[in-house]
Amino acid sequence: MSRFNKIINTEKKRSYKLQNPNLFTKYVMILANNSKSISIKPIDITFFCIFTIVGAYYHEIVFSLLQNFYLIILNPLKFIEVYLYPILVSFGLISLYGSLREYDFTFFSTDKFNKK
Amino acid sequence: MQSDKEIVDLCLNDGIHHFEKIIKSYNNYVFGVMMRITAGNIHFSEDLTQMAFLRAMKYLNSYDSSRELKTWLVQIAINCFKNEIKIMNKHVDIEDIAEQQVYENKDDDFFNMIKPLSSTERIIFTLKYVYDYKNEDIAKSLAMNINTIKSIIKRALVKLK
Repeated sequence: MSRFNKIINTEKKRSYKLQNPNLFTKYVMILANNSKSISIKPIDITFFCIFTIVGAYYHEIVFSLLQNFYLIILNPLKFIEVYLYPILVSFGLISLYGSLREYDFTFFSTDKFNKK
Repeated sequence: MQSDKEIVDLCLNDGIHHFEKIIKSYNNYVFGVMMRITAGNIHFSEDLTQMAFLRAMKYLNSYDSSRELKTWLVQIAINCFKNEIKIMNKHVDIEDIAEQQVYENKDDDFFNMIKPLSSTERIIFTLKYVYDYKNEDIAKSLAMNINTIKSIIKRALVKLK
């Protein structure tokens, strides 16, 4: 038998094993679950429209809030007193958006396999 | 015991957590292929095996169930290896990767033997002679022409003489 065949036959019989296959499996699964995916759902488009319409309708309040944003440091109580209502409405809308997004159908996703 | 196809279906329909069974079944096999291709570089082989499984999970819905799952996984691992080599070639030479060999075995003739081969030659040589792949299968896995495969094998054998 030639040296070449001998080396190949020895190599065929040799088996390689990971040092810790169970840990490896767990690590890969953790990495897979942590990978971020981008998705666009109907609720995103709906709320984008809502935020745009509300923002356009109350644009004066939005601009005024941005212009006077420094008050949050200089005079926080005054800032809250003046802008409490728009801030609460914004937080309410964002909370509603966040909770509804969890229960909506996915429109587009880069995450092709994960089905919750 | 569940077949590979059943597990893949479960992954696609019930959740990716079922993929753990596939990793457990084939992690050593894919690692073995990578060890041979990298000429015994354990850390690089582990990284490539990990990358291959992550990529397999990501593109599981494109898996053709008429093919053997382990062949598909090896194909992904080889693509990972080629990509990494492409990136590393800008900074490190392929022979330097083999130089980082840490696998302790007195009988390491195979690793020494394939060292003069290029990355593509190593892949084709290993699949053909160690894993007994047919030229057609190698061509299909690497998306290459069968005549190119034959000429690469010839060139590799000349280098090894």
